[in-house]
Amino acid sequence: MYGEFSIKEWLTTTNHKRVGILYIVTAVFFLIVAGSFGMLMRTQLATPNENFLNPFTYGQIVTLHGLLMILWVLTPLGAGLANYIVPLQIGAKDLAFPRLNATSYWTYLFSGLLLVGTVFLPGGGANTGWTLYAPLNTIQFSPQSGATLAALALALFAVSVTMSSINFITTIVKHRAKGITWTRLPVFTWSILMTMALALFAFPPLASGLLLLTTDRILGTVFFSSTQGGSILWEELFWFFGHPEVYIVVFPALGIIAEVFMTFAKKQLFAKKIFIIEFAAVTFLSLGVWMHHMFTTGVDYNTLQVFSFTTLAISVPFEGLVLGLVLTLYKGHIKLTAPMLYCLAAIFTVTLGGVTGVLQAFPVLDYAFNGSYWIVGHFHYVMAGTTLFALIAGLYYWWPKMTKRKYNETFAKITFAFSFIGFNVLYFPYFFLVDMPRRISTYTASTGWASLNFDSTVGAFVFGPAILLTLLNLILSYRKNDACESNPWEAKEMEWTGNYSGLTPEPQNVDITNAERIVTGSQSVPEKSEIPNNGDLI
Amino acid sequence: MSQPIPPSAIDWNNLFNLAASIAIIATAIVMAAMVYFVIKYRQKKGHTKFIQKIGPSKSRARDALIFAAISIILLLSLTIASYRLTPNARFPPPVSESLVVKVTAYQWAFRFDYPNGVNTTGICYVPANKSIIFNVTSIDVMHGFGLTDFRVKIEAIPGRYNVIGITTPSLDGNSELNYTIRCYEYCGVGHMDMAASLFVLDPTAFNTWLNNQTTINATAAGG
Repeated sequence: MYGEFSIKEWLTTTNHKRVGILYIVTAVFFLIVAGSFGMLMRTQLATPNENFLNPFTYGQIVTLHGLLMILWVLTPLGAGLANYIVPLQIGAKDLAFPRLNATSYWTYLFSGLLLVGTVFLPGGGANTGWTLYAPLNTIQFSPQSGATLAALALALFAVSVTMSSINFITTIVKHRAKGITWTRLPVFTWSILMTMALALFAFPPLASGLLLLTTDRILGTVFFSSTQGGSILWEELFWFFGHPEVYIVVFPALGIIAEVFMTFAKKQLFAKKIFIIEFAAVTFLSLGVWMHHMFTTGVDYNTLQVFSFTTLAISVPFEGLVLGLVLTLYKGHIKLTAPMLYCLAAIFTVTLGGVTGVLQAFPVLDYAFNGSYWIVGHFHYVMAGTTLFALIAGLYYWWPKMTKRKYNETFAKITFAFSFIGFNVLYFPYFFLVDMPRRISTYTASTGWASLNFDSTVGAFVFGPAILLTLLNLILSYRKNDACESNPWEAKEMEWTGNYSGLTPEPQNVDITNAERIVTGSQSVPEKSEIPNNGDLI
Repeated sequence: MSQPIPPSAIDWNNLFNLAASIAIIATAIVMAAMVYFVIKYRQKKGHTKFIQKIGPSKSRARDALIFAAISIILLLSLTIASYRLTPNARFPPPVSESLVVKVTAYQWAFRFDYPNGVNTTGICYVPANKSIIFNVTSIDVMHGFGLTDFRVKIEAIPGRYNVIGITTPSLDGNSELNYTIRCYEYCGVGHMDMAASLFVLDPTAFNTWLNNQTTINATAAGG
C-alpha cells in the first residue's frame, strides 16, 4: 500500500478525509511538542530551588505550552475528526468549500510552525503566559521580535479557524443529504455546528486585539501600553475570545462522548432534543461570562455580581448535558471498550472540573483561587482531562472507519489505566496548592509546596508516556495489514451504516462505498486527485 | 506558635466548606450513578438490539426539568451567600476608621506608602485589630497583590487604583503576626521572587515604628 503513497497528492489534496487526517497528524505532532514542554515544566518544579530551566526559558515554555495545547492541539484535533466524520454523518460529498478547507489547514500548520519557531530567534519568543497580558506584551517589556511573530502566528490561527467555521456551518446547513432533517442530525455534527458557530463570534475579538497589538509593536501606537485602560482593554478582548474558546474545545468532546455512549450502551441518547437545547443554551450564554476571568481587576460591584450570575446560570444547562450523557447509560447494554473507558473518565474529569469551576464563579471565593494552582488544576481537569480523553476516545472509535484497522484492545485498556491514574496524580494535588502562584519557575522549600509538586511530577511521568503509548497503539495497528469489517462496533450512526434516508429498513452488511456515492448531491467541482470516498486512508 | 486565622479567611472558609460539600456530594452522586449503570447494565449475551427509547418522552422531559430546578435552587442559595459576603473585601469600613496604605507594585517588588509619607519596600507593618485599606497600583506591567492568608487578592494595574480591604486579627498573645503577600499575575522573569511580608504589630508598637521611621527618613533626606 505504500506504493500508492504520493506526497504530491497529500500536499495538494482538498478531500475532506485527507485534510482531516492531515489535521489529526499535525495536532498530534503539536501535542508531542507541547506535552514535552509540560514535562520540562514538571521536571523544573519537582524540587524547590531547582535550576534546571532559567526563568526566561521557563516563561517561554509556559507560554508555548498553553497556546499550543489549547489552540494548536485540542481545537484542531476536534476539527480533524470533524473534517473526516461530519460529511459522512450528513451524507455530503465533501465540505462546502474544499479548497478553503485546505487553505485553513495550511494556514493552521504554518501558524503553528511560526509560533514554535519563535523560540529559536535571537532574544527568544513571547514570555507572557498564554493570556499575553498587556502591557507585558508590549515592545517596552517584551522587546524581542519573537513576541511580535507569536502575535502574528496567533492572528493567522484566528484566520484559519474563521475560514473553517464558515466552511463547516455552510456544509452542515446546506449540504445535508435528503432525509437528514435537523431532528435526525447526529449529535457529533450538532456539537461541531455549535463549536463553529461559537468560533465565528469568539475569534474576531482576538484577531482584532492581535492586530492592535501588532500595530503597537511595529508602528508605535499605544492601544495596550496606555495607562488609560490599556491593560483592561486587552483583558476584555482576550477573554471575550478566551472563555468561549473553552467551550470550542469542550463541545466536540461532548459530541464524541455522546456518540461513543450511544454505540457501546446500544441506546439512543437520553432526551436528545433537550440535549440539543441545552447545547444551544451553553453556546449562547458562553458569550456572556468572560468577565469572570477578571473578578480581581477591580471591576465595579454590580458587574461582578452580574457575571457571577451568568456563570452560575451557564452551569445549569452544562450540568444537564453531563446528566444527559450519564443517563444514556441507564438500562443500556454497556460494553467497556477502550473508547468507552476514555469517555467514562472524561465524564469524571468534566464533573470535577465543572464543580470546581462553579466554586470559582463566586467572586469572594475567586479572590483566593485567582492566579493560583487551583485554577491550573481546574482547567487541566476540563481540557487535559475531558477534552483530551474524549478526543482519544474519538480517535479510537473512528479508527476502524478511517483506516479499516482495529487497534489492540488489551494494550489500549492498559494505557488507559496508566493515563487515567497518571492524570489524577498529576493534577489533583493542584487543588491543594491554593497559595502557590501560577507560572512561577521555582519556589523555596519554606513554602511547603515541595511534596505536592513532587507528587504531581511523578504523575506527569506516568501520564505523558501513557499518552504516547496510546498513540503508538494506533500507529502499530495501522502498520498491521489486516483489515477489519466496515462497522466493527455495530454502530447505528450514519457514518457507519450509510443509511441517510432513514426510511428503508437497516440494510445488512451495507457496502459503505456505494451507499455514500448514492447520496452525494454535492456542488463541489471534482478534481484530478479525487480519491474514492470509501474510508481508505491512502 | 499558631497564628490566628483572619476574620475574612473564616468567612471564606465557611462559604468554601458549604460550596465544596455541595460540589463533592453532586460529584459523588453523578459518579455513583455512572459506576452503578456501568456495572448493572453491562452487556450480556443476547443483548444485540439497539434501544431507541425508555418510557414516554413526557416523563423524560419532566425528569430534565426537575434536574434543572434542583440545580437552580442550589445555585441561587449559593449566589445569595456570595452576595452577602463579597462586600467585606470590596467595601471596607470608611477611610476615617482605617489605615490607608498605598501599594505600588513594580518589577519585582511591592512598595508600601503610609499616610505620613513613610515608605517601605518588601515589608508592610500594620496594627492589629484594625481595618486596613490597600490602594493598589503598578508602575510597569500588571501584577497581582494577593494575601492568601486573608483570602483577598486584587490586580495591580498601571494607571489605576484598585482598593482591597482587610481587617487584621488581634495578636492573641503573639508579639507579632507574619503573613506573606505574593504576586499572582505573571509579570516577567522575576515573578517567582515577587513577594513581601505583612507584619501585624501591637498598635502602640506600630505607632512607635511609624514615628521613628519619619525621623529616620527625614534624617536620610537631610543627609
